[in-house]
Amino acid sequence: MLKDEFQKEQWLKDSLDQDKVEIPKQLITYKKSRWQRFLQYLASPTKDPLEPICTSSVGYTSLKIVPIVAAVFITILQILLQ
Amino acid sequence: MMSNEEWMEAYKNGDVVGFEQLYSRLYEPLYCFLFRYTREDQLSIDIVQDTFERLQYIKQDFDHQKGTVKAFLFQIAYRLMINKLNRRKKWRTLFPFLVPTSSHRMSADERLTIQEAILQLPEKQRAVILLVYYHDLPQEEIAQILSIPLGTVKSRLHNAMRTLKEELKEEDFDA
Repeated sequence: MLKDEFQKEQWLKDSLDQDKVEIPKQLITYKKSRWQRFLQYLASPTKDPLEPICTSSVGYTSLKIVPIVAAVFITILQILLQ
Repeated sequence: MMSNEEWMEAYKNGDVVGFEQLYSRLYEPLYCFLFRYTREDQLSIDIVQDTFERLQYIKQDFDHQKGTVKAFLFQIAYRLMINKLNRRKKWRTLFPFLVPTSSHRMSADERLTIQEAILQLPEKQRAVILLVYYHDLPQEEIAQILSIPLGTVKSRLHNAMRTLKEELKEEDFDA
């Protein structure tokens, strides 16, 4: 048997033996529907797409200023177009 | 006591009890293999269920001369898993900001080390070491499951053991 290869590697064998898996009860009962899985997908934590901007102080400041500047620009544009 | 192969034959002949028996005997090893490979419980649960669903459609393809029921099911599960993982990789390439963060929590440092070391193994080596060590499958069955030549199984196992030892030693040294 191929497992005999591990007899010479007791230390590796001991390490591998420490990896225990718990069987979820859910596996015995039912399978989640597509809708449930979709909801779970929506609720699962995701990476913040703005994280690279928020981590630097310049990026964070620009993130606050950009909407204000955009709002002022749109307001001025509307006034000029009237 | 009837063997898996006898229950499979019964199931092929329309006996639903055969399916129930196979499920109750094999869902645990299947889940363990998939979970150790992916470290994702929901994905592993889904693939186990999909594997048995698929078995219902292709049960007539099973031939006990070619291999065991366990190897047959592991082969289905492995292919489903690889397809799902490849599909997911494509989606993640398209939408990298939607990649879920890992919610799995490790309880002990030592467990974290071995689990991470297994996850860091190249995919081809990871499957071999899991099937050999945790499921004690013979070389022929592993070759059948992974659709690789017999000799490749042994070489991948040796490579996996070497990589794993290096990774674990490095982590021990870092600690």
